[in-house]
Amino acid sequence: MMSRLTRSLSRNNSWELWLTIGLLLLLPMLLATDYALTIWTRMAIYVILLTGLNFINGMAGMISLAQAGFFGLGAYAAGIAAVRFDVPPVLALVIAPLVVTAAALLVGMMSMRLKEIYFKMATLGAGFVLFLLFGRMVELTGGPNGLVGIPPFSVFGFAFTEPIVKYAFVALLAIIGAIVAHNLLVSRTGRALRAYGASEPAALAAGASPFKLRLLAFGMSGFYAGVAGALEAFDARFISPSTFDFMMAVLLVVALVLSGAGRMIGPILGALLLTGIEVFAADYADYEPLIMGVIFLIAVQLFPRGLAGELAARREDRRERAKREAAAQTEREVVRA
Amino acid sequence: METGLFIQVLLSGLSVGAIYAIVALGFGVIFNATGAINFVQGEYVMVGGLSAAMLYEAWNVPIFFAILVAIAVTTLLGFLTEAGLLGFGRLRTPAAITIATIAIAVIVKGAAMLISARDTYALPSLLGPEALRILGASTSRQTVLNLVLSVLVVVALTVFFRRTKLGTTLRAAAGDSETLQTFGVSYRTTARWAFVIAAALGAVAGAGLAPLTVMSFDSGTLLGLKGFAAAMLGGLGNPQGALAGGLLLGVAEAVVSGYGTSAYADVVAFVVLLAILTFRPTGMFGTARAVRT
Amino acid sequence: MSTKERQGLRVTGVSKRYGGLQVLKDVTLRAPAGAITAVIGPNGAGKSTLANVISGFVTQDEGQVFVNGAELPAGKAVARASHRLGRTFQNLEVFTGMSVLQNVAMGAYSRQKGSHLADLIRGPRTRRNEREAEEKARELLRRFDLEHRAESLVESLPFGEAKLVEMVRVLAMEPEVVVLDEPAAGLPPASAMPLAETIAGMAKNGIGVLLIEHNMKLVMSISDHVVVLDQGQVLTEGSPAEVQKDPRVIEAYLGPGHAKSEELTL
Repeated sequence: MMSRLTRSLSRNNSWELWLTIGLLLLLPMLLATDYALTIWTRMAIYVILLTGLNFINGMAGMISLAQAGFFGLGAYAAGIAAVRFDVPPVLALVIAPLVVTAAALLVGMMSMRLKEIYFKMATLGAGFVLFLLFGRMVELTGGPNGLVGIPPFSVFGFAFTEPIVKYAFVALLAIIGAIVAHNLLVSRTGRALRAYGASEPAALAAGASPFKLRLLAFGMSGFYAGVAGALEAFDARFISPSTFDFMMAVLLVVALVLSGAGRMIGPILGALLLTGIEVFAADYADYEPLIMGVIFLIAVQLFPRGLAGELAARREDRRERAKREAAAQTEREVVRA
Repeated sequence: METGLFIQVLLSGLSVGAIYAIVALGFGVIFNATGAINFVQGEYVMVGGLSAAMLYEAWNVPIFFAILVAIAVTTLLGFLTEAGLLGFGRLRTPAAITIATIAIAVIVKGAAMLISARDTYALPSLLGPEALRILGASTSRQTVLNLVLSVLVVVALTVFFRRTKLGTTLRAAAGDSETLQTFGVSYRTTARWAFVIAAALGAVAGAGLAPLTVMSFDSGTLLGLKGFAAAMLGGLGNPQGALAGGLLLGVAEAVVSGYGTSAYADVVAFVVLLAILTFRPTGMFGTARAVRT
Repeated sequence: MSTKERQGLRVTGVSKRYGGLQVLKDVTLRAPAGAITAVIGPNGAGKSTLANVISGFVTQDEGQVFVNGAELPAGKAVARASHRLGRTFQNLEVFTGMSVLQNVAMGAYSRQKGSHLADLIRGPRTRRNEREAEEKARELLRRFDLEHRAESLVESLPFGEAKLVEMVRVLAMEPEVVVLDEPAAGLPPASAMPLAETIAGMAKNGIGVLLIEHNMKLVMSISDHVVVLDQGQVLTEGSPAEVQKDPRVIEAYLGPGHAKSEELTL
């Protein structure tokens, strides 16, 4: 079973992309009430956000806790542009990803050479400082009370207020984002990123620059977070710092790890998980962190290296076994000689 | 007036910095024993401070008794943390333990949110409400207490690590189970002691902080990150470095809030953290540890 | 390319010190194109460090490394591929989780131009690059009788074949110079012959091969030139026959007192 799984990982596995697209198109048909559509819209936003996180946590194999902060930066960049500077929403949707990409590149340059545990701390710190700034730069952000009065998304005066229109727009962007991510995953670039996880020296000797590739992964994750953030701002039309806190940073990582970091299917499953939690936890909001923490702890205990890491470890075991067998064979041949 | 303001800033910085130093020590103890970074460290501070303040404010428990109970509760939490991390499952690598501590931090925060009902609490100064006047500046007496406390903790920990068998084991082990075998101690035993000590340190820090600032269930993340910044500043795992790093960070924050705006004081720690991770990840004193791959 | 440009590998005056330990001292050697140059020496002679300096994994304190007359930047492993220098590793280094074909294609990618950002759109150039890399990889696999393994995960291969894949991956980089770090390590004796043929084939195709090896039999049977390293210095060099007879070599390997024995047969 495991070997079939790993083999599918090594192939182009475009069925995962088709499934992602299919779910984004079909889910709203199952339930298309206005309320359901707002939930599907949130899910599609999470797909974009997690697809972005997948560039770092999945392909490059580094656990980043900065994505919630980047998400917030995108939301605030778009919201502030629209509310404080009367920038048309279309333009704000372009500005926000650029701002976040720049921030992500900066954070990437500073943190990507760090060892695993320090990398987590550095990215958490970066995400948390953004969270703090959302609450402290009151004149721009509205402070802890949030930024109100964000207009709906509109193109040439046509406002996207109908739930079905909103969903269609977000889903379209999510599908484009998934296709681009899939392109990268199966290209030499995506393979080189994965190659780093398998053998850093061999990847270096083959001329794949980790600096460039990881920076690309960071930039991409920032761009996607920026798009997701801007869509969140125009969808909710109100944003406050608490949406982008430590809990969110952890939730994003957990959702992606549980549903398959590094695979095309990961973001949509993770997004379904996140949306499911939000819907069902709405009545038990006070218990949400406690329950999530327990689930997370159990998941980590079952898959200490994450699902992808677990597979890699099994491969490692098999490689060791192959080596041992080769050595044993050598010995036998020596004895025979 | 200028010197008065400066002394004022310096004192309040040292007062808070002393607490950061104690938090930093907690990170160091866990790091030395397991090689992991303990994300629960900030929550220990929160639990220590919040439970002491809750006992005192809401249940009218005498202040010293409240603090003792808070320390006991937090220490028990440290014991439970180790059980939750290593008691079941097969976590052994520092990276995996680090991830699991994030989960436990979320649980602790979630539980604290339920118990405190999102209310904030604070303690009065332990040495009475009268202000202390030094060179034209006035400060809380708690400042002096915190400074004395942090120096005492550093001295006590240094002696513990250098002079006792358990301390030597904890310092030398660095999560290496083979080394531990040669000491005749199990990995679990070392880890358990490390978490208990780290939690007790967190509780002391929380009790020292509660008179200076209000405590709530979500104070932990920020305090943890600041303590970690202090630890990195002084070199992770180095007790004297933790003291220096904590005091320096506290003063830097106080300078920003004294001469600039207090709104951005909290950001200082993260600028320091990112800068030190980027440019001098071995800390000010350059203890040799591989931080980069 | 004219023969004048194809000088192969040249190492001049390389020294490396770790703290108080001088690992390499003023090492100068050549591995000309189309020939096999072996580096031998007892354990701790500095062979691995030399391989790492040449391939940019270790920064030397002094000295230079040239490929076809162009100096390689010190300590920059990632820049070696563009200078047409490939290497294998003592411990098997393959890309687990990828197929054999993809492993070899990774080598071929290093010869391709085009921005990584262009891969996002997957335009005609990306597709052509991918097709070409896979075709090249497939052709190489065919040449080494590995074609039937193309779609297997590399870690499912027996050790000997996985080692061969590593070498084929290096060949896909179209190198001018190849550094082989103990290619026979861990291989059963039966695999020594095919390995020797593979290495000889590289030299025949004009590649300058630097063979760092423990296995004397392999070294003596296929090398054109042998350099003996001892305590970080070039002790002597010459044809395999000359080196085998050199009493200093025997002494370095077996310690003083053994210099009387006629020949090194290890």
